[in-house]
Amino acid sequence: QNDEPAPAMCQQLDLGTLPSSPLDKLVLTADSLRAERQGLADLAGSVRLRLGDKEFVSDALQYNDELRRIQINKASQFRSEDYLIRAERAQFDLNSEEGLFEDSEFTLGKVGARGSARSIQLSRAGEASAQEISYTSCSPGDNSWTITAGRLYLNREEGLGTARNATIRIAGVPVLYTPYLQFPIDDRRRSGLLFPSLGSDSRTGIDFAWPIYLNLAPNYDAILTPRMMSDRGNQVALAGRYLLPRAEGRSRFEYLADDQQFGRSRGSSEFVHNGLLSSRLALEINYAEVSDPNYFEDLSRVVDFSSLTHLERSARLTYQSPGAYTVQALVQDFQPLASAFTAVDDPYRRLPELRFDALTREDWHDTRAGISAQAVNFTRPDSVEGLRQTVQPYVRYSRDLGAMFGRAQLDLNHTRYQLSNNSTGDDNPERTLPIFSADAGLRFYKFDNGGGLQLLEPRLFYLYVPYREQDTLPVFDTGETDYDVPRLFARNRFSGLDRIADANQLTTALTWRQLDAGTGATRLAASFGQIYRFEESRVTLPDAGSLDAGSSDYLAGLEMRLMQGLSATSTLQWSPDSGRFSRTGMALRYRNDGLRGDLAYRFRQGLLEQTDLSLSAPVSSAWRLAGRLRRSLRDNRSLDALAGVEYETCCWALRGSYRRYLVNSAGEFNSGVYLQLELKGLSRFGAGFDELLPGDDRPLGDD
Amino acid sequence: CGFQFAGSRPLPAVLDSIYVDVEVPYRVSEPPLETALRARLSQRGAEVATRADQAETQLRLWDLVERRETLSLGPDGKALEYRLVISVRYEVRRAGKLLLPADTLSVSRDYSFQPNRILAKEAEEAQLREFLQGEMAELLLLRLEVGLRETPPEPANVVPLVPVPAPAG
Amino acid sequence: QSPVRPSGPITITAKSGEWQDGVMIYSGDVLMKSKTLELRGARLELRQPGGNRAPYEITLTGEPASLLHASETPAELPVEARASRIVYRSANQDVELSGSARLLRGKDEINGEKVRYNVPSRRVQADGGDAGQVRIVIDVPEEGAAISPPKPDKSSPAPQP
Repeated sequence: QNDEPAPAMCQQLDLGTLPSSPLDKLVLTADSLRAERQGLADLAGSVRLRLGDKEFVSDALQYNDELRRIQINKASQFRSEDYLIRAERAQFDLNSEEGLFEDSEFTLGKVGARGSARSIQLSRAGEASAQEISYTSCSPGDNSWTITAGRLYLNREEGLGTARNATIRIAGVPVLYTPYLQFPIDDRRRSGLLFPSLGSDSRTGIDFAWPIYLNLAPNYDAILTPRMMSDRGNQVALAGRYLLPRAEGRSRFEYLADDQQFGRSRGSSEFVHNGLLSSRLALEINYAEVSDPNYFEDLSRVVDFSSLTHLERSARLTYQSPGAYTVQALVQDFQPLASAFTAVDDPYRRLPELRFDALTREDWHDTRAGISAQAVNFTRPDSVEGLRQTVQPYVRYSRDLGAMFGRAQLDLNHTRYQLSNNSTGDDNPERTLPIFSADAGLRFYKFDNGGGLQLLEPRLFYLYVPYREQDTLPVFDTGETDYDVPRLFARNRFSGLDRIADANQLTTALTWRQLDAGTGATRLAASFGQIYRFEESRVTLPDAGSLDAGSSDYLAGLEMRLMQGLSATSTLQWSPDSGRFSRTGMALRYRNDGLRGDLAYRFRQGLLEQTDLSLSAPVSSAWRLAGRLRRSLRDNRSLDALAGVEYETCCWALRGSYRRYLVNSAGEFNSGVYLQLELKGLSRFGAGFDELLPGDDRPLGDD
Repeated sequence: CGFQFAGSRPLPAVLDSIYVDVEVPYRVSEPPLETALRARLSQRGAEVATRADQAETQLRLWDLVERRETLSLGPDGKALEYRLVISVRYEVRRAGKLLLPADTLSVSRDYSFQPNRILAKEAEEAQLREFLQGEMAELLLLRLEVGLRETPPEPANVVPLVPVPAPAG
Repeated sequence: QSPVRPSGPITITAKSGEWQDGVMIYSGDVLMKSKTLELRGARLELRQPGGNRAPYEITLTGEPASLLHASETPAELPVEARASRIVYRSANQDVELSGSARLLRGKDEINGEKVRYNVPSRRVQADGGDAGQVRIVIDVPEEGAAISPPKPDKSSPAPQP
């Protein structure tokens, strides 16, 4: 067996492409012609008929001139752009260019599928209607799976095959009967039956699901997924997508009649919509809800869901004026999911938030003026609530001469609150302060002898914000951001607007890049940075203290391609006060035709220290192994472990995986074994291993 | 050590007159990537057209996709660290002909997550999105520059780089 | 239509004609006309061994020799044919064309090494000969054909055995 990965499609009988011939001339060649009876001509001896992209080959053939019909009572072979049909008897009508085939074997070249049919009617445009068929995408002689059906329509324009009274047989054993089944007959992303998955895990017991794809219309479709769980009961999920000229969206509803372990019925719903109400007005809706906080922990088999802490519900209207201003209106709320929180930690609702942002387009002597204003009504049960209004006009000077660039910006931020249910002091606090920043950088470049481009960019960023006492201001949407490269050039170390940190500091940073000559891909990118505070930054948050004067932590970031396919990245944050690293991140990434490996170490002081190893490697042309292990070194235990094996042939694939991951705040694990069978050609959705492994993002751009 | 001021580094002539179009279906406002690209191009002296037919070269970007991956898990199984990955596909055409084959550019950055500071983290994510799309604009421009460079580097005045001590860590 | 019908009087015109041991040879723009048949060619040999009333055989050669059989009823299409050698036997009114023979009826066309055409019945037989094959080209009006959508009727018409 060679080590080539299993081909996406099986190799079917392929006679190569037909030389094209005129559409209005039917050409017949034969050894002999006998036109005995009136209007009937018998051709014999390696007869070949060619019309446009169609071709018939047989030993004998009869042409009826009155009916303008070709009759073939011997074994014949028909070929067209999409079909290859071998039939015992066949007919071809010259007027309608329709073919009729009896007792035939057919092959769909484009999608690598084949089958047999008692009879097939084939229209000029390639639409086919077949009776008593069998169908598979396995190569000739291999009947690992077949569909048998009373009737099959092949709609070439839609690219869909629709079977009636269909039975799916796996290795000859009937597995599923369905009165209606659709599947793709070209490579458009559409499918009929998705692939079934069978598992058994500690949260749901034996867990069997078989998604069915419903192609309702060219621009909206749905997936219906019945799911049987031995420990909990039967669940049904319906996920739909729609694509309209001015909007697109998807929705998903799950309903579990009554959960034996939970004691009552449970469900979830999700709705995402993006649409244009006019060419300038856009509506964006994100809605997700679950019937109870433990829903994902119990029912989802993927750590990406069980690790969610909140579900966002928001609707946002954005008006973009042809001038230079944008108005946004937002209503937003969150549903907290199970975790060790008290109500006080829940996020505030924004009912509503109004934003206005404007910036002059042209600049007057490299200077532009702008304003951003915001009014938000924050509410949260038994907490301080209120309206916060902010107005922030600013003036920005920016000049770039290529070799050097300079920017300066002066803002005036005025914020006012109207609070209620406020236990601390004034109900109408306000705060007014200027924010000044100046930014300057030099750019050096060099073409190294390999033709690659090297860039060196030192940069200085000075920030001045006077101190304003803000301890009495509420904390609605504010928190301290990560100390990382973006914060080196940020004008406030807090995100949100309830706190604007006082600052009198200078950031020094250096970026060094080496780019490949050919592709311009990054061979090396190193960045260093550090903030020096001339004064202490005294504004604080309940969970974020003040920062002393003097130099802040040193930051270094490095991305480097070690060799073809192997790249390393690392992030280091070193604290001069403690003389230790407050954050380190190291990662190795290996990509080499099918072999994918990632090894990462992540440490954030006081928060986490974890390793993350993932591997996906072909063992032979049919076998592939994959695995991921996330361990927490602080608690010295694995948080998410996955081991998977995949056996793939050109027409089916079987994936088995074992998974154990931390699922809820009580520290319980969900561990289970899952089996997934994919009948290639019945489904084009590729969710298989990829869903379990980290996305294939490439921080280095490309390798 | 052989470095020269960037001012003397001309933009490839092909980019002198360019139209930038980022396809974000069903959105009305310009993504930060487009704003940054236009700003950088015009700062480098290119003439950024407002309509496609006004420029000989078209830089088309589409599939601007953002993905948030769970990285580290806390002792309660909840996310402690996310990775924001933004990717875009791009191609450069001139008079209908492909100058650069379509390619994908993706950037990502990790950030910590506190469940009790959702709104703050959402605002931080928005700042991160703006920062990443700005970085994307810079990387894209560098790729175009290297990919579209016609004149070979002037070998005359380039002094081999004195090896800078490898950065720490 | 009786199986064998005398072809009626024929007239032959040519630049020159001569008699050579029982064979009448015409050459130079030879034209043989009968009521519905016209043969043209460079050289024609007429053999009528049984005398004036008996059946005769004509062998016509040319570059190419050609035949035109006019249509007798509106339903029929005129038939035109060319070959390097045409042999016509009045007994059974059979025409034998050989040497890259080509027969045209309306827009349809038959090519072959040897084509036999029976004038009264308008029937054709063709053979590719040892080297080539017969080639038939039938005109298929592209748009005109009424394209009926495939009606998956229940009873599929059983093709004639």
